[in-house]
Amino acid sequence: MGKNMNKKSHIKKTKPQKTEKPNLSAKGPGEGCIPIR
Amino acid sequence: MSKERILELRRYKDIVAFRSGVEAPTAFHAKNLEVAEISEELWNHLVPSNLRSSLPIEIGNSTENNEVLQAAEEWLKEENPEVKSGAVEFGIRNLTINVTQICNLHCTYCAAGGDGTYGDPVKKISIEKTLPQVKFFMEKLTEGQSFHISFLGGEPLLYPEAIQMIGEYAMEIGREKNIPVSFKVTTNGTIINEKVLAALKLIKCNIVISIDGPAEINDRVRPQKNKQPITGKITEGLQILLKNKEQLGSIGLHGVFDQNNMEIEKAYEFYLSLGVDWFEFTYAVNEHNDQLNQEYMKKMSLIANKAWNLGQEKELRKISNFNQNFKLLDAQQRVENHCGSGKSLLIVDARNRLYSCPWTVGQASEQMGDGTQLDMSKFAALKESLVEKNNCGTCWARFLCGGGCMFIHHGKTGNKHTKDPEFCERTRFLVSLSIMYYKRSREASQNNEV
Repeated sequence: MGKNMNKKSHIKKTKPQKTEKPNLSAKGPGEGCIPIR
Repeated sequence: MSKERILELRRYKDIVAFRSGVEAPTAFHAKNLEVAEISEELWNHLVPSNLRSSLPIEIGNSTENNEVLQAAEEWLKEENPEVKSGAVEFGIRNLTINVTQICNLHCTYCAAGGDGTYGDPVKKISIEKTLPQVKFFMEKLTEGQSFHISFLGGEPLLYPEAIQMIGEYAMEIGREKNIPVSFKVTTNGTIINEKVLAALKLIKCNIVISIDGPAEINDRVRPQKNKQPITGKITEGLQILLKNKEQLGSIGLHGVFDQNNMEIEKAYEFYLSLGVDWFEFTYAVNEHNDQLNQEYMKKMSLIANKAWNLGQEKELRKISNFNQNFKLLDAQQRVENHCGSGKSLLIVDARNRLYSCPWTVGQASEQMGDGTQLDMSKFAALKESLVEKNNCGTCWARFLCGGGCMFIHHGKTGNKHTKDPEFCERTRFLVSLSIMYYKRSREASQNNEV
């Protein structure tokens, strides 16, 4: 947690959950008005 | 006009912070896509702002002897090596194909010419012309890339033979080239018969059913052409799909909300009762009304709260409006283009003409080509990242939004690169809610680990 508690505790970062790189192409509608990348 | 404040927002350069209720303030680093809890002292040093504003707010030179703002400055200077670029290289990897431009419904908000025809009621797309198009784009792919086909219309399930033939053909090329191919159909769900089911199973199709709420609402805003109710038929069809779920892809529900229907909570309760994988609540692309926009945001906040109380992250992420931001935050993945329009995405209309957006089909000025002939001058105009082209450089939500929807911007301002402030406000709101719940979720999962 050391790194996450830096800046004299003014900023405590949230640790992202390990995940696969999202397929930006998979977004579509629904998935927006059909935003597909 | 008084606007009820749903959340408090403060800003300092590329740091934005939100607060809702009594929880500790949540901050977001716009460039690094990092989320953090910040101290009360730092919150007090940030400058009150609002969802309409994209101003980066400086605090003059008073930061020098200020230990609290120095902490913010240090955070701003950090480079997050985990952040992935959202640049999209040219190459069509997504085709949306209008297999028909006929629809059996007459939805009040239809963005496809008002009746699903785009003003050109073509019954069936030519398979002979479509297969060479699929081949043309897939041939250019290299190993490691993937290809996606969305079937749209009109009502695409009126022509299941096309879905089957195009799907089989794309899968065959995919196997030859070792390219994964996925499919999706966006349907009104009224025509689920044996032939349709067989076609959908064959390609393990992901299914999106457009339905705006329980019968008393859906039958009003999505009636049949003869005005007769249809919702019962949709829920029957959905049950058939759910029984065959193992041989299909994901099943989701998609609702559109506008002046005729802003019953988002009723839709949410109804969707929950249907047992599908996910749902989405879309503000109509052709709706431009500030009061409705405020109502939409308020109701999205209410259903987010309901989902959280029901099952925390798991239930919240069934709502795709939030799930997409969770995915990007976990992967630290920037988005620099709201959609792949003209870069990675093309629409094929039922006459095999090519367009960059499903909603501009039939507009000669928006045509990008015909068959396998591409008008490269049109593609050149869409080459730049939308975050840059739309001047989003000072907006804190830019790398989770990607510059916004060009169709919506154009509808409001007459220029696809001049932003619709209501779209921006709505998007910032959904992103800010996502960020606040994201922090709660990751804290909950870290506590569970301990």
